[in-house]
Amino acid sequence: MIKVQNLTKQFSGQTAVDDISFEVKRGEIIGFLGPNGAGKTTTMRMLTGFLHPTRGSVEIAGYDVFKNPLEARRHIGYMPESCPLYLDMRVDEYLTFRAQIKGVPRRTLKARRDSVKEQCGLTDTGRRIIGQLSKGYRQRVGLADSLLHDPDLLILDEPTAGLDPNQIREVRELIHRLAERHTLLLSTHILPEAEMACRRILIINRGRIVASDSSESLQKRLLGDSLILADIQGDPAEIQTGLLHIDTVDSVECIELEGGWNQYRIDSAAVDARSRIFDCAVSKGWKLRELHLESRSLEDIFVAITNDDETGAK
Amino acid sequence: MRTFFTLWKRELAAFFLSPIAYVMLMFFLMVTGCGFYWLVKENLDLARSAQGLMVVIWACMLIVLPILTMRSFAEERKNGTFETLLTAPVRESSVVLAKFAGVLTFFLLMCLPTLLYLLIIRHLAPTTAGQLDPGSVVGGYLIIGLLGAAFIALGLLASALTSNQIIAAISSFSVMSILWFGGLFEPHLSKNPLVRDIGGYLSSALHLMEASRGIFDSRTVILYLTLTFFFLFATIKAVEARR
Repeated sequence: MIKVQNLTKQFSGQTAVDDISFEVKRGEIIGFLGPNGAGKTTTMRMLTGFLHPTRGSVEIAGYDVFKNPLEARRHIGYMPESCPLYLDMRVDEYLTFRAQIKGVPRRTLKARRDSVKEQCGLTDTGRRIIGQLSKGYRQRVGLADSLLHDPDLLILDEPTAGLDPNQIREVRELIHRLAERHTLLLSTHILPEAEMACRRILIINRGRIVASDSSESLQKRLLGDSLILADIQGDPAEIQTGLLHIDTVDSVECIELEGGWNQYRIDSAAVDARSRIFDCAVSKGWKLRELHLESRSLEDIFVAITNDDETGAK
Repeated sequence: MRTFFTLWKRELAAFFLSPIAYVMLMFFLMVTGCGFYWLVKENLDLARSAQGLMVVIWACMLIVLPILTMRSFAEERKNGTFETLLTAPVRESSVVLAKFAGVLTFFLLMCLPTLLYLLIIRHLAPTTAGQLDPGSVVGGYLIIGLLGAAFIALGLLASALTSNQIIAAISSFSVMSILWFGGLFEPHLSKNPLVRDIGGYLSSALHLMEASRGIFDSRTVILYLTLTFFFLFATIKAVEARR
């Protein structure tokens, strides 16, 4: 769906995007992550053909964005950062205008408009003036606009920026529903959002892609070891040596709990050691009441990667 | 073509959805009205011909057109709607031409009420001696239209080059002034006859006077059409060069 090759953008000598290449397949949901100023918006603007790159090429649905811009744009639904709209128009007027310039056939225009309004929860707001809508509703109008021509690919630049928690939840749910039918590329610097919504994560830092994988395998690859918490009853010394006998376990730390229970924090190498800890407890006759793999969040990964990159750069 | 029509409609609607349209219409009618009244009081002979009316309209254009065009691109740039507009499947050239057509249509609509003055002029000159000559009226309005087109194209260019409306208005005003004042100061322009000739050729006042006397000069028409095309072309290039 998207094929980016050696994309570079320089603004008066400053490199904003530095030789990035990636591919997105049809139906994928990609989270585009990065600190502020990492080059997310610039990249998205190049994907939509709004900015021209210094070097490199972008192909959307088989069309080169810069050589065949109109065809490529017909396949893209784009919502820019901060969701700019004509504030003096009514919702219906605006959506009709946008549908017309996007070439939605006249016969189906009204049906199409009503269907995206319903999808985005705008059914009762058709007569309202956009300038008088709340930020959350404006965001919905922007989303509705990006859906009008039923594009294969949706590119959303920080769709939840500046919304309150309720609105964020609404927009997220909406995005979830959209993900069923469209290829989705969404940028954000809010990590739980990407973790929840996206099956693949692209992390960009200082104009370069520093990681591209699913959230789980990023965890495995980048954090390596996993942390397991186990509540076991019995003699701590014996249990500690027993646990250390499992070959993937690197270290065990014991925290005393009430009633003869102890919590063991077990650092283990990449593979999940939970079943082996269970086997060990069964064979030794220990009482085990909880076994939990502490999953590290995308936040840890993000910090790890972007910091590594910075120290690497220095 | 459908895209152009849609964008043109939006452009025209934008005028009437904001107070700009009404304020400018009021200003224009007020100034032309006062101007015409003054002309009747002070210089009845000039008021009796089409020339007087044309001069009154022409005098307003220098103020009205920079203000009508300043928002075209500058506002969209500032609000970010430029991005939504140009990531839709539309050509830069259709956007520019639609904005041009939108402002031009509004300007012509604005001039429409001035046709009523023709009735007054006829009333002022009931005898056959001072009758209005249809040729001079058509010629005068033709030059107003052409000069308007060139000024609007220039205004669009200024607006496309900045995201600040004030800068757009003042820079287009400055360049328009050359065409506007050029002929007025012709005798004082320079001792060099060549420079004076050039000033004369560019003088919109002179063109208007001739046309509203019923003299048709194809050079004038070609000058304004060329200027319009040139400025529109430059605007399209400026919009494309945003990258």
